[in-house]
Amino acid sequence: MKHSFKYIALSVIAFICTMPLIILLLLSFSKFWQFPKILPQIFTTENWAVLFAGNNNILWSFILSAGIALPVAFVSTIMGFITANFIANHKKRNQLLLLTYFPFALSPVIFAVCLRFYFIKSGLAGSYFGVAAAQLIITFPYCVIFFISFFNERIKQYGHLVNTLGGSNFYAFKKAILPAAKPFFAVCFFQCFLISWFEYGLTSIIGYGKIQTLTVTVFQYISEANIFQAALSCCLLIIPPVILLWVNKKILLQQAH
Amino acid sequence: MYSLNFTIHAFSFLSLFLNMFNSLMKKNIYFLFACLLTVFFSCKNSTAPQDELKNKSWQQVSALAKGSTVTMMMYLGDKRANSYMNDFVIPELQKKYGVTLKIAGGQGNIIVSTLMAEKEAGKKEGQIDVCWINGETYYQIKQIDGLYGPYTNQLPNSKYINYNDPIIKYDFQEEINGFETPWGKAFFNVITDTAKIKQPPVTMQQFESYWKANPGRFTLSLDFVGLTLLKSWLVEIAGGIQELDGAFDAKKYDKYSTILWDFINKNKKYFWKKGETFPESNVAITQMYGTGELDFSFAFGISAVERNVTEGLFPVTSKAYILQAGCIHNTSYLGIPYNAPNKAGAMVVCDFLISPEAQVKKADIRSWGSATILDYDKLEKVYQDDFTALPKLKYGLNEAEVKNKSIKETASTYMIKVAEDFRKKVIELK
Amino acid sequence: MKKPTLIPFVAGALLLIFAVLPLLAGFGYALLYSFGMVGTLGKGFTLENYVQLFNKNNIIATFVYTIFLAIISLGLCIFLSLLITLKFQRFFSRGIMSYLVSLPLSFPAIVGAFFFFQFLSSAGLLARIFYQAGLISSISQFPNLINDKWSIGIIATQTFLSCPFFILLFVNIYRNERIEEYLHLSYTLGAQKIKAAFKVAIPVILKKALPTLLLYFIFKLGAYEIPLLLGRSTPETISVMAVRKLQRFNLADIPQGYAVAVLYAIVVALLLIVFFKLNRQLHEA
Repeated sequence: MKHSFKYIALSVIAFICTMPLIILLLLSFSKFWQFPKILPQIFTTENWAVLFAGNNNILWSFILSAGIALPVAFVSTIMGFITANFIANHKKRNQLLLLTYFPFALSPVIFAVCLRFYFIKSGLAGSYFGVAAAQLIITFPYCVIFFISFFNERIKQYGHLVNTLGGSNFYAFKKAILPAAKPFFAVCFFQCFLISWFEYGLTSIIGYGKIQTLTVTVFQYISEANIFQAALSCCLLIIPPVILLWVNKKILLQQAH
Repeated sequence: MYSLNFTIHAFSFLSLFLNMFNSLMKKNIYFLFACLLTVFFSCKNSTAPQDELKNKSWQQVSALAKGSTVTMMMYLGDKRANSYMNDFVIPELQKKYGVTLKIAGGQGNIIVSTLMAEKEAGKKEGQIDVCWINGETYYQIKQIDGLYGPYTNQLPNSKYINYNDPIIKYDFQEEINGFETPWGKAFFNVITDTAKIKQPPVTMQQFESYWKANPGRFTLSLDFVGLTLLKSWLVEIAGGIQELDGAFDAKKYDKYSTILWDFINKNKKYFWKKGETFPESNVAITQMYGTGELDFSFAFGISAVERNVTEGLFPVTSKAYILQAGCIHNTSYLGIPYNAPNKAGAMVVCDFLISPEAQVKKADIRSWGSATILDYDKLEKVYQDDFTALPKLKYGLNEAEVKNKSIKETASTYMIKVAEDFRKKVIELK
Repeated sequence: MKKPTLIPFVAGALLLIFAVLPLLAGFGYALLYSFGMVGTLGKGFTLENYVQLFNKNNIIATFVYTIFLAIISLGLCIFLSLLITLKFQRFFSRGIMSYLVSLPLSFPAIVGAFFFFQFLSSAGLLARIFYQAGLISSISQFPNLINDKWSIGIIATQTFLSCPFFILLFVNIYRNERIEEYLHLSYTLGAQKIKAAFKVAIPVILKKALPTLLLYFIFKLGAYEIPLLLGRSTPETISVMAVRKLQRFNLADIPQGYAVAVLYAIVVALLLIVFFKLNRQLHEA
């Protein structure tokens, strides 16, 4: 009796977590869905077929989103690692940290409207590089904060150990810090990818609506009440992170063991 | 050495920033901001070499445009309009003129604020080449000298347009003077289901009694469609458009709008969600009318009912009709920003969009279904035939029917004031 | 002092370009704009924009509403996550449940908002189910869950999107802090289950998670997409209000939009200082 309650509760939780994904997938394969029908009246692969018919906005948005998120995640992870290393060993560690927390905690969309002037001024607004740079301004502090927790006591001690054994700073870095940081790189990269992949407000403001990433496309379909295309773009937004999450989960577990 | 300097700078910034936390607004910070800004303001901009376009022949202009990319900013809330652009205009432009058209989403207010930001940044080259505007957007862009022109006389297809027709000559009472290319005509109308409502309310009084008898089944949107409904009522209160004709009159506005806000505040408890919130866009209203949640929908253009009925969204018994005040009738236009990087390309796009071929397609109910701005009498016989061959509307109003009752737009300041006051005096009213 | 290497220079430069400069420049601009010092509409120093905000435009209501939303959705998340952690933690530390529960983490805010609109609106999936089950006979009988007075749609979406994060966080703390052992210890000492949970497990988890909770609260203050799509016309959240004022019908509202941004930045800065104090205390303790 007690056990069955537990399993019912767990199934409910599992259901709540998976249902949205299933419904969105369902909608992406549908055409008419009039009240009060629970299920859409027509099921079709039409929406998905359009995706591969060439010259399609959604597919292009998907490529563009990936084309922004991957380099942004890559660059900010590396930049974050270097800067975190610097801050962790700095005397004014806390003050510097506060500085990185601030842009990280701010609402990206408000930050974007304040920065828009400079992006326009420098000709970066409405361009691929402009959006990528603007996203870096959010992901970079995240990476710094992420790696700061890595460079905490444990790792410092590693370094000191190598130092006392006569190794150089660089040697300590290469032999002790980098290998230990490896799984952290993957996690940080993944998180940055998500931040960039999910970004809407900042991208729409700095990108002028010209840089149509997937989130911008979703918003556009929502505003023209095109729910099936919106659902399709939503699925495209969710599926890569779902897959990555699967991989990432494994990384996390490997690291724990 | 250079990097050392850089780091020193870095640290001076850091310490300054930390200062800011200690004392939020000290003078030196302010000074620093000022310095920063001057640095940015003194940046040099590339100059646009297109000021000479005015003396160029059309052949020269289209030669300049060939192979270029044009960015158009437009309202994307209309599915039909979007597919007209994506499936017809973009490929045709590419095929005919070698021009690549890119569409960016942005309604009037976003276009204005974007242009203003570019102006403030002193950009001689902006990001937008052409935009879909009218009314208060045109008025506000003009306030900041944001448009390029006059240029419409250079477009070959301008010969099909009667620029003296008042509905084209004046955009919300503001003369277009060659700064805007007319693109489409729109008529404000109300849609309801005749199966449910035999005698649709036409006057405000009739609406009031309808609301009281059927609470929760009416609302209006906060975009231009809902605002046009409010303006129609303002005209009704004023006793006709003649009273509100001409430049904005604050006295008249105050007098009539007070009555309007009282009327709405008195009745909003009978609105959808008790009038505590209003949909952001008319798209939501169209959907809710389709699902039967609301009894009234609104539209700009005569084909809305037809389109939605054929798509299976509206009941076939839907009917469009006109309010007591008359049918607010306006034209929407294409404008080229003062700092458009590709003005020649923008002109080619404008010219194509007013070509008989593109206008026929646009007027076709199977495509967009939006009324043409071309003058039928000025068209060659073939094009006249194309227009007459278009399928007739089965459900909407027809243009002739609407023409008798059509009234012109009030000055755009009315629109701006109505938008502002609706928020302040109705939505935010405690 | 060691010989300086290249890394500090690079790191300093990165910090400058990607963190300090944008902050100073962005908020410097907003500050100047809000005081009428720059911009096409600026006519020299004025406090007018702030006066306007406090006078008519319900800036206080906006802040109160934003804070209310953040507290409610955070509170709900904490409650649910604690419940799940204490009851089922062993299922969530690994295995299929740990994967399933992290699924909502792959939803961007905009998708969450879209889904909940389709699910909770008056003509949405839930209303259809109610209708088919005979619980309601028309759309209007379905309760308002979207654009509603109590922001149920927004809170549901935010809770759905962030609850998994807290479940995983709490389960992690539960294991790392060996709460299981403490609980067993207290049972052997004769404590009741519920009492032990409230006296032992919950305080430890919450204390450990406190900085993260505060940080999440700060994030929630910046909520944009979800209230934009599911919220009412008034009150709005801070971000929605700022953007609306910056891109609205009346050009004269633009400086007020920047004033909202400045006020928001000040609130975030103050909260961050609290966050740092908390963090330090926790480390020292």
